[in-house]
Amino acid sequence: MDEDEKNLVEKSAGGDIDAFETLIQSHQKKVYNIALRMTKNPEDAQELSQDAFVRAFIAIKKFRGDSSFATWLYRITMNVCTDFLRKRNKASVISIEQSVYESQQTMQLADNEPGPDEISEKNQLKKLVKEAMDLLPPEHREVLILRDLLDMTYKDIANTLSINEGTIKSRINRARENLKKVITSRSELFQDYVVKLNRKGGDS
Amino acid sequence: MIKCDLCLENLSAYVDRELPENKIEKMNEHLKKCDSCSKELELLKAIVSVCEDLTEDLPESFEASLHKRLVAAKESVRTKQKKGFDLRLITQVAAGFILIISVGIVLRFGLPGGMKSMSDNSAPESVQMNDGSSTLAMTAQKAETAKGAMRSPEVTIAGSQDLQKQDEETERTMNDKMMFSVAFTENINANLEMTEGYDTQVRIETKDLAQSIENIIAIDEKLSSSDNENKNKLQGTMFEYGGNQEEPVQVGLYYPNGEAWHMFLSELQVAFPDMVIELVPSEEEKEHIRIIVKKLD
Repeated sequence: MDEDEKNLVEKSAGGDIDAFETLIQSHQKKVYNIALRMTKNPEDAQELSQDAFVRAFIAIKKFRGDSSFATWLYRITMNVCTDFLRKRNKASVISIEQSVYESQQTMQLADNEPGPDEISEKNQLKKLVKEAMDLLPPEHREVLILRDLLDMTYKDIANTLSINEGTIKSRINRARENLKKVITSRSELFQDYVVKLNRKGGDS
Repeated sequence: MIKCDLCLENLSAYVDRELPENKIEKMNEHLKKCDSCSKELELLKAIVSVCEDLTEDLPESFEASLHKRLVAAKESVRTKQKKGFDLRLITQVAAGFILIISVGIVLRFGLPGGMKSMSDNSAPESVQMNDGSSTLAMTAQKAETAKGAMRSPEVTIAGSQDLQKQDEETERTMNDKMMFSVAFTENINANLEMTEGYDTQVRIETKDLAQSIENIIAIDEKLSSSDNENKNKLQGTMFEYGGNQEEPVQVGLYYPNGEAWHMFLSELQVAFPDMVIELVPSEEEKEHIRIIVKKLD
């Protein structure tokens, strides 16, 4: 934690709202996106991400800098989201077979939507992946959000979720396996994208 | 050369650059020769590249409405603190009166039979109480069951100011020590309950650490109240332990409600009758029971 951040944390602990708002400035979008991908709903995402910030503001006196402020904040966000899902009783784990079935149903509906001429291919792909991600169980969604949206290392994810790093590694692998199953069952669009990406040449 | 199943198992970590150098070399070696795994790799990279691009902008009103909520939260905390202070002051004053009246009764009518051995010439200023007074209402329940840091305070009756001082001192002791143990001789339900801001810390000493962790996993599985989250944590701990760790093994578990919490602790007590339970201030947002298992030599 750098000196500026430390200073802002101290001021926030004293109840300084301006300091807290400066402290969270660079995290707002990330926290909102965690909540959005977890809840799949913009209204819930706004409510829950703000819940997380309010909780963090009240609890910041207890923040002792053992982890980074970001890790601490994302942990609170994840807890707020998982508690919400648990309470809403919608945290049921959907089997991949069911996901594939549901996604095929969605696909039939999608045929009536505007074609590639109207929506860019990239946007269609994003929509496809987003919908596939929404079909994953919460524990798979959360690791993918932290890894791919927030670009966190496995170690930081392990700290954020208080889960062993080895478990994170296998969970990310399983989550992506499942994501891949859903996506490839849905559309050839993605296969075309892979071919194009290969032509351009990946760097890793 | 590694086989396909091992390659696929490590594919995500490979894409995320989370593998050690020697494993990366082995993966490269395999991927050069295996078309099937290479195709999987390309597909995975494509998915990851789209996933990385999924962030959405904040709603327009986000910052303004968050600001309002922060102001409201600050106000609410301030009100609660004030109420807490008022309540404590009222309790202290009331306790002062009760004690003064009690002392008056004792002086007027003498001590009841069981307490006659107490010196009759005890002036009000030097009467010693053997337990916490009602001024300690906030911590009384904890004090009853606590030992060590929370020894029953001896309160000298000298008006409410001293009582307040004693109260503050006791609270300070709690804050300083930030921990108080529970004499664990009776039923858990009678002694302890989930307390806001505190986690339950359980210390277990065992000769067979691996077996003990397995027993804890079995208890958690039996109750199956945590969506496998606890099981994953416990298995992770087991994995980390590896059989030769000299430091105590620690794991934080989450139980969503008081009932599950009680059931787990009760089962744990049966398996580990000598375990020590303590209440410690919450460190993690989501950690209700912290188990520390120490291997005995």
